Amino acid sequence: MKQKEQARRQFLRNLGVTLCAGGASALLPQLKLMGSALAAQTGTVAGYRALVCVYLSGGNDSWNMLLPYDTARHSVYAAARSGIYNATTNAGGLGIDRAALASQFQITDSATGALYAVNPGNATYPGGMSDLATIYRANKLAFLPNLGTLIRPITKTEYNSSPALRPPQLYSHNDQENLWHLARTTAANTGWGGLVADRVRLDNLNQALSPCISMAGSNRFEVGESTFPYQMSSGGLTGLSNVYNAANSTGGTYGSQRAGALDLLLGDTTNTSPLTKEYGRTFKRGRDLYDLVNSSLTAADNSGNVTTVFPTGNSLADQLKMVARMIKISRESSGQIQHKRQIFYVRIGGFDLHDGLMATNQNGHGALLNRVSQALGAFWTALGELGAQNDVTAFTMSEFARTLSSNGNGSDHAWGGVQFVMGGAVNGGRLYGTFPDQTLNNTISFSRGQTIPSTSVDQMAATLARWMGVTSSTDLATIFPNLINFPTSNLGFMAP
Amino acid sequence: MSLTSRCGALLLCAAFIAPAAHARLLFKAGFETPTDVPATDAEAARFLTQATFGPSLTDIARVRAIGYSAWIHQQMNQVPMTAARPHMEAVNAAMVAAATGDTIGQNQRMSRWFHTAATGQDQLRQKTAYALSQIFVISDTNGSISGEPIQMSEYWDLLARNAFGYYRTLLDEVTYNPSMGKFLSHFRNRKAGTGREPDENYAREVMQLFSIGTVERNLDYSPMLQAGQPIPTYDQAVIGNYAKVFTGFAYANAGTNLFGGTNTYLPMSCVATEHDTTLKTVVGGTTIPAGQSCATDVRDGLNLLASHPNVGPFIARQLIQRFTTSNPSPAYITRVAQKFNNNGDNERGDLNAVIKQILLDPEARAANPPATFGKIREPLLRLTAVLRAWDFQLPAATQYGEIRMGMTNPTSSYAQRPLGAPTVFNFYEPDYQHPGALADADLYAPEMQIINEGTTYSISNSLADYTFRYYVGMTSPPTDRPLIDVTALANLTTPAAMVDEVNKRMFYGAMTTNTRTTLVNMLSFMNGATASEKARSLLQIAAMSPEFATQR
Repeated sequence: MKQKEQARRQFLRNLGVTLCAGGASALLPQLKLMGSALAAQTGTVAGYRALVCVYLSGGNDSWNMLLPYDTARHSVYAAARSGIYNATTNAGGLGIDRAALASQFQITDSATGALYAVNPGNATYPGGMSDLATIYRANKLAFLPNLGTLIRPITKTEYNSSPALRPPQLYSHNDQENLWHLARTTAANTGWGGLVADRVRLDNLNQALSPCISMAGSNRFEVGESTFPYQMSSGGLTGLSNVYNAANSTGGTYGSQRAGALDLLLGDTTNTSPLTKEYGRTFKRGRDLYDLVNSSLTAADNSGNVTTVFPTGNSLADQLKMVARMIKISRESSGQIQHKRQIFYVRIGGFDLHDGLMATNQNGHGALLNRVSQALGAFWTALGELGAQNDVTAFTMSEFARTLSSNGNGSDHAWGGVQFVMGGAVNGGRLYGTFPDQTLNNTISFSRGQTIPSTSVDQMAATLARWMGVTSSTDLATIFPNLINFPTSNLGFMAP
Repeated sequence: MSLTSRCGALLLCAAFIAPAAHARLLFKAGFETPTDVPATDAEAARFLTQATFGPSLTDIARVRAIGYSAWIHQQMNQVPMTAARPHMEAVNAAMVAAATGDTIGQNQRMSRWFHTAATGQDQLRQKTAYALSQIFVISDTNGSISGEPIQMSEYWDLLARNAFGYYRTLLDEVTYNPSMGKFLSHFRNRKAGTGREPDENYAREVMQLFSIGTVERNLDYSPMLQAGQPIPTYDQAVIGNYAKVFTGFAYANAGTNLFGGTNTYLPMSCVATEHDTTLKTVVGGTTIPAGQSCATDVRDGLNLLASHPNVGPFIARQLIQRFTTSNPSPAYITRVAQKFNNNGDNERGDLNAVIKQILLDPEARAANPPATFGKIREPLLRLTAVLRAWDFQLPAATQYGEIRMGMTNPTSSYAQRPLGAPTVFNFYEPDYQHPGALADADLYAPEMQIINEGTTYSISNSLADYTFRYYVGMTSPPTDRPLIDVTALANLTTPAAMVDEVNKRMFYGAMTTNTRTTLVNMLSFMNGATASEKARSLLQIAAMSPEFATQR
């Protein structure tokens, strides 16, 4: 198995070289056949499937994203959050008033019957997360309470006595984000999305366009052994000024001379500096893919657009709209891309709310979650427009959740927290895992309500990887080396 | 170990704070002899590519006349600082006086930054401030300071003032700066109360990013290992204790009211009743005693960080990465860290000595550096290098005194913006290894974190605006941005002569034969093009080239 694994990686590397050298299009049909034969070993699933990672940067205070609604647990929650927030009487409190949790924010865990509510927003953002609550009630969204980075399940006693059992650099933004992208606790240059893509990409017709596409710049999550994300802007592609381009730009009177020179410079492999060469390769990849992507996105028949209206002034919505458009052109059966597996990465920042967590302005948590909800709500509608709701699964990641207790007007870095998964293939309308006891300093939490996760990132990731077609236990163990430490590799929130 | 028993160490820290500064300037004034005059314009230009926002013909001539050391000495001791905040205040005053409804914003701060980078005489100071701004990060992407461009300009000036000063002083001023206070939320941080603990934000980042980092380091930056594992420098308990140190900060004139005072750029005061006076166990198990004043607690807490052996290699490596190379050898880091630890006068944290070592180190000055030496140029510094290499006609100042540089939101093109990173982790991280060939070779390349298919295009297009699109002599020129004047380049009679001039001004004479041939051929193929079109085409393609995107 190991040998096959290496042979496949070598094949993919060679493939990459071939494509870089140009003239690969003639080879592609054969490559696709070979690819199918190899990929079959990993148990492929028919049809199109895509993952969309929604990264909430800064550490989402998810205890105010999903909160207990029954009075008993809500009062425990409120006490832990330093009381119900009130601008005049308790400005330091982080708790959301139960009275604010109107019916459109209430949801029931169909697995246990327990009552919860999603963030209700505030006077400025009254919509709160109602869009996502609606999708939850349609059983197309599931919550994963108390998820976090883990080497293996760990008790509070073990945490205190054995530092080696703690994931490295807990509570640190960049270190913890890295572990989420890796879904392992040892250093690596690859992320779990990229490693999944390595194994499922061979059914994609156009191999030049990466199966991993980022609307939010570089990220470790989408890097595999033979996969590197294509990074584009949510605004789409802009042509190169004054440079001739086959599809749509003459570049002016001397555009072709300038293009000729530029392409020679980008293709020059004789420069001794590895940095110069990497820059050239990156720019060249942009040149090589520009016509392919841009001509599909901007086709005269409008086939590269979606008609669903996305909210404006919402960067996440901009990104997700472009994801929807990329999914559309990639699924087009007569198109040039024809991808069967894709992994997208989008990102929204501002969650590191040490200050102003409860602020009702555009920087507060209510505004952020409202944007997340509205953006994903529109994305869900757009997927409906494409007929792709069952083929696309969106999920959140965030480096950590935050302290339950207040620091005066915000919360500090903590550990386990809530994530959610949305899609037609999600067995939604329920929670997967145990919502934690929110009493401060209990058996699974520390003095400020930093909660020890009950479920690992690896388990969530492996469940999604399996849905993408990585079904062999060997592959799962390779991508997620710590998975063996946990009771199950399938949390059950995805339909087969 | 209690602080009192480590009193010796603390006193030692205190001794190398401010008082020594005067002694150093007197002692060191002007003793360098011009023994390091570069032999060629190319060598001078390469040095200036590292030390400034880009070589200009004037600076190349000056460095060739007086040598590297004397040039550095002039920059450090004789060239006056270009301040940002007074300019911003003047523009603001003019706007208020005109009562036209125009208000000052971050756009004016950007205009000033580009103008200073392009034309300021204090190039080394401003370049150092820019490097420091990527370690001691604040950002106008944060809503708490985005509406305070004058205060943010003061933060920039703080970095520029301390660029050749002492790390410990810099750390102090950064800590007390209200923009930093708002950005990392220790402004109005309160001592523990019922259901409330101090904010941990500044406590964490001052350690992780501004001083010691997360693991114990050797002088050459390699991690110390215990049973094969790195040794953490602190844990969550230390964070909680440091959070108590940074309580009580308020506006300068807040008096006894944490929430009182005027919003100014002046250093924050500390409201005693909101300062946590309990005993604090901090790095290395050291304790800061109970009952001390806010000022004493902060002094002790920062002294402990500043005297930690990690700081030298931690700061040295990052500054090296900003000036000369992404992958300094352990020996290079060691030499710079040694200067940090002792400038030769038994003073610690002397940034003057650190910057000098970074630029004059044999590894930086080697005539034929190894292939792995150098860095991807920061995208913004490609633009500043273009602005300094060629003649530009700047627009007239607006009625408020702002000189507009055509670049008010560089992030959308360059993925960078001075004091405008996405988070306190800057635009990219020092440990970023770009997947593929670079990571396989175990090379770091921080700037590659913002280089991708999209940004290679957007950077190129902005550079095309400055090199090709907007030029002296064009029809209906815009009045809000610099216009390139290509007369000198266009007057050269042969393609080869034109390319050689570009090589001299933008590539410090190191353009490869392939690149040179490609550019010469391009010009030769442009039959019928005007001299201006040829010159501007040459500049655009040169500015877009992978070689110009790299600094060797």
